[in-house]
Order: sequence, then structure tokens, then C-alpha cells
Amino acid sequence: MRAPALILGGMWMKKLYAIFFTIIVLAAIYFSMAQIYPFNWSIVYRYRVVFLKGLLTTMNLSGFSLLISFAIGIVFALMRRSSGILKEFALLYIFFFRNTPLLVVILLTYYGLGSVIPFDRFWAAVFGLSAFEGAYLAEIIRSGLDAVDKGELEAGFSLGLTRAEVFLYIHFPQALRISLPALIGQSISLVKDSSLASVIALAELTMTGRQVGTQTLASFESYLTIAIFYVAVTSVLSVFGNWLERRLAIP
Amino acid sequence: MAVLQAQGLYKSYGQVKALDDVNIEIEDSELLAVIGPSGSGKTTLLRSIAGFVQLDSGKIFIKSKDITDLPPEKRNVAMFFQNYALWPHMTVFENVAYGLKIRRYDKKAIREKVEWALDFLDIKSLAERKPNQLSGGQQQRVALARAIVVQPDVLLLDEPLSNLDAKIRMRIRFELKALQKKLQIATLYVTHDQEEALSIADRIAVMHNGKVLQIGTPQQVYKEPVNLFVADFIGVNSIVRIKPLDKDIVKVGNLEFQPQQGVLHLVIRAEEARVLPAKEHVTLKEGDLKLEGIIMGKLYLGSKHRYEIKIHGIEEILFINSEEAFKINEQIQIIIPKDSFFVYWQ
Repeated sequence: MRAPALILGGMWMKKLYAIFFTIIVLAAIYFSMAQIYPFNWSIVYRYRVVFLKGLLTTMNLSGFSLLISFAIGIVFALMRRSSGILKEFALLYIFFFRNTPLLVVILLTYYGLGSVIPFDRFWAAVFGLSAFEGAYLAEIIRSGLDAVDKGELEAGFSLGLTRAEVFLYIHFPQALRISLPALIGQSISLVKDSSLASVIALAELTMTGRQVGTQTLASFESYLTIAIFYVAVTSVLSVFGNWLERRLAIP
Repeated sequence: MAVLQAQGLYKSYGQVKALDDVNIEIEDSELLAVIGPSGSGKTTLLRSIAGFVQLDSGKIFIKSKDITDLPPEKRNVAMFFQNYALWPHMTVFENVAYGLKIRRYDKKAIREKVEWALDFLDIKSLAERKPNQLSGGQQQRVALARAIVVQPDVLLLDEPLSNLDAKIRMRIRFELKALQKKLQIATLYVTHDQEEALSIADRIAVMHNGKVLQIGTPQQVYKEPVNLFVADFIGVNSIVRIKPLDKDIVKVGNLEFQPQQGVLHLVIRAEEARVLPAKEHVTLKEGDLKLEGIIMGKLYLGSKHRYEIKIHGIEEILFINSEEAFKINEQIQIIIPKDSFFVYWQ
């Protein structure tokens, strides 16, 4: 059992070297730029509460949108696999949202739909983002559902499982495993796409960065700060995704 | 009392008739093998009994109860799939237990039944493994355990041995037959391998183009095929076609046949013909066929040779297996016992 540990050690050493090297390069770039642009990081510290509030809004926005868009994705994936009017409706929905820019969708929900139903900015953004990402998730989930061996489902029916039981215990769990990498990727996209909510002046991370940047003229610092925040959030997602993938992996 | 009765089943896919007036019955604890080439409708028949095919017309009864319109989950038939179709996210135990869980057995009863099934198939030690950690043969046993544990009225086996390699297949044939007899479940066994069907079945149904051509015991189907297709499909054969020259009589070797409509097809069971040197004296029994010819070519098959033989007066070449060694161009005679060749006009 020592050999694998050694190999792992080797891998870690390589990774450490790579990180070390990257830091050196980035530091070199940073300090050469600092010769021309006077970085002032105290501004970021001074506006820390504003930044954290922005981060919280982005996380809330992404979190709600993730939940709702997954629900939309599952429902529309099922409709897409059914027949008749439901399938046609799902096709139309997916067609519309996959061929419309998210920016337009958010403008539509806030200024369009918002003039019929009173939305605040946050919920307008949540609904726009959910509707949009839901269409992508529907296609991902559908392809996962399609990829499960039909024989396994029939084996379920022939053993007496009802349609709902086959879906719940055999079909969906396997489809989820198959589409997990794509689902994680789409979730990360969702977090990044949430930056477009700044167009309706929702004070999420991007909006915050822009405001701080224009008010203090420290644009570089504030945009770099929010970039790092985005990386942090999406990293958590991808680490969680990798963990889930390993946990659910079928030996 | 027949456990399964299928009466007048029809199913077509566009122009193709997959089932064309199919009638079969399976008795209690009987194993009926359905054989036929691919596209003959045998899998459609199996799937229609399982409930996965919507019939155009016809009725299916299980224990005298009409199940034609019941969904698959209400039929109490268990299907075994060619690729096993085990659920990869569940352990062997969970795979086998699932059908029982759905039937709302309590935990203790489930454990007992699953352990019985795993024990029965000799795979108790694999209970906690996942299907992808098993060999093909082990997966097959799990699939079988999953099917029998729910005590179905009818067991449907779809090409159960086709994914195993030849050596294991031979062994499993015996096991499967013993198993089925011990369980006493009425079984429908679909295969394209006629040898497998002959060795394992109580009765055989031969299908072609959606029709059942013949149903009978393996002996009946082998010894008394009802038509050219059945004769040719079962066994290892050599066929020659002879066009009658004059209208009176067709002479083939020592025998004469009254001409009928079409062409005479002579089907010879290649394993049962004897090849002898031309000069050797043989006494023929009534009805035996004797052909004279010359060896054109030979293939070495280990325990025997496969000869290409040109028969005097017949255009086509015969292929016959024999243990005797002959040289090329040697004059020989072929003796075919009465029940090992068949003559059809078509």
C-alpha cells in the first residue's frame, strides 16, 4: 500500500510546484503593473461591508435561481420526453430561452413582466435567471434520462414497479449520475451569469464592484476583488460537485 | 392446465408482420423454447407477453386470467434480459430485493427470500457487491435471481446465454435446465441457437416471418420437420436443389420421387450421413438413401473432416462431416438413414 501513497505524494509535489510558479508569475505581473498603476487596496477594505453585501446578494440570487431552475429543468425534461401538447410546449420553451440573450430575458422579466406583476429587482432577476438556466438544465437532464438503458426500466416494470417507482428509484438516480458533470458546469455558469442582474441595478457583486470602482476610481482593485469572489463561490461549487461525483460513483 | 395461453396474436410494424396469428401454450413447469432467425418475431412474442408490445389483436391468458390489457407491472411475469439490465447503482442484494420491497413484504421476509434466491444460484457471497464489479456469468446469475425471487407465474428469458463465451455457455445450459426443473416455473426461452434449444427445451416453437411453423418436442422438430424451413433451420444440414428433367420420375441416388410442383429440395443431416469408399458393400435398409460421388475438397475439423462432395448427376455440391479419412478425387458413396434426410418440393 506504500506505492500509491508515493505516487500521490509525487502528484502533490507537482501541484505545489505549479501553484508556486503561478504565484511567482502573477506577482511579477502585479509588481510591474504597480510601477504604472498605484494600487490602493485600502479602498477595498474600507468598502468591505458593501462588497460582502454584494456577495451575499449574488449568493442568494444564485441559490434561489439554482433551486428553481433545477425544478424547471426536471419538469421540462419530463415534458420534453412525453408526447403531445406538453412536449410541444417544452420544445417551444427551450427553443425560446436558448435563443434569447440572458440580458434580454432579465430586462424582459423586470421591465416587461414587472409592469404587469409587481416584482422587486431581486425576484425579477431570480425568475429571469431561473427561466433561462432552466431551459439549459432541461436539455442536460433529458439527455441523462435518455442515456439510461431502457432494459433496466423494463426490468423494473416486469418486476412489478409502477411508472412512478421506476422513475424515482431507477431512472432518475441514474440519469442524475450521468448528467452530474454537465449539471455542475451549468450551475457554475449560473453563478457567473447572475452578474447580468446588474443591468436592472440589483446590488449584487458586479453592480457593487462597478459602483465602488466608479466612486473611488479604484476600478482595478474593485473588479479584481469581485473576480476573486466569483472564483471563490464557483470553486466551492466545483469542489462540492467533485465530491458528489465521487460519492455517487458506481464502482 | 396451461399456465400461459397466447391466442391469435397479431402485430405488425408498418408492412412487416412481426406476429402473424401466433398461438402458443406453456404447461406448468414446462420450458418452451422459441427459435427462429433474427426478425422472425420471437422477441416480439416475448415482449408482448411481458407487456411491452401493444398487440394489434389476440389474447394472452395467464392461469386462465386475461392479461392482454394489463400493464407490465401487473402481470406477474418476470423477464430476464439479454444484457441482464441490472441496476448499477444498487448492490446485488438490493437488485434482488427490489421486486419484493415493492410488493410490501416486511424486512425479515425480504431478507429470507433474497437469501434463498442468492443461495439457490450460489452467489450469496456477492450480495454486497455492485453489478459492475461482477463477471458476466455472475451478473447473469444475479439477473436470474432477481427474476425468480418474486415467484412469477411465467419466466421470460431473452437470449439468456448469448453474452457468455462458448465454454461457459455449454455448462450453463445444463445448470439452467436443472434450475428450471427445480423451480417448476413455466418458462418461455427465446434463442436463435437451435442447438441450445434442442438441448434445453421440453418443447420447441420454430418461428419465421411472424408465424409459428412448428411446435413440438425437440425430437419431433428434429426428426419430423414440417417444412423446408424447419428442416434447414434445425441441425447441421446440406441442401441440394434438383430440377426435374422429365415429367415422369425424379431419380436421386437409389431412390425415385414423383415429380410435384417446383423444385425438389433434398435436406441432409450432415452429422448423420455416412461416407464410405465406393467399393465397400453395404446393405441398405428400406428407405435409406445412397448417393455416389467423388470427393472434391476437405477441411480438417479436429475429430472429423468436412468433405465437399460432388454427387453424380447433381449440380450442387454436398457438405458432409465424417470421421473417415478420404483423399481428394476418391470415389465414395454416402449412406443416409431414412429419418436423416427430407424431401420438399417448392
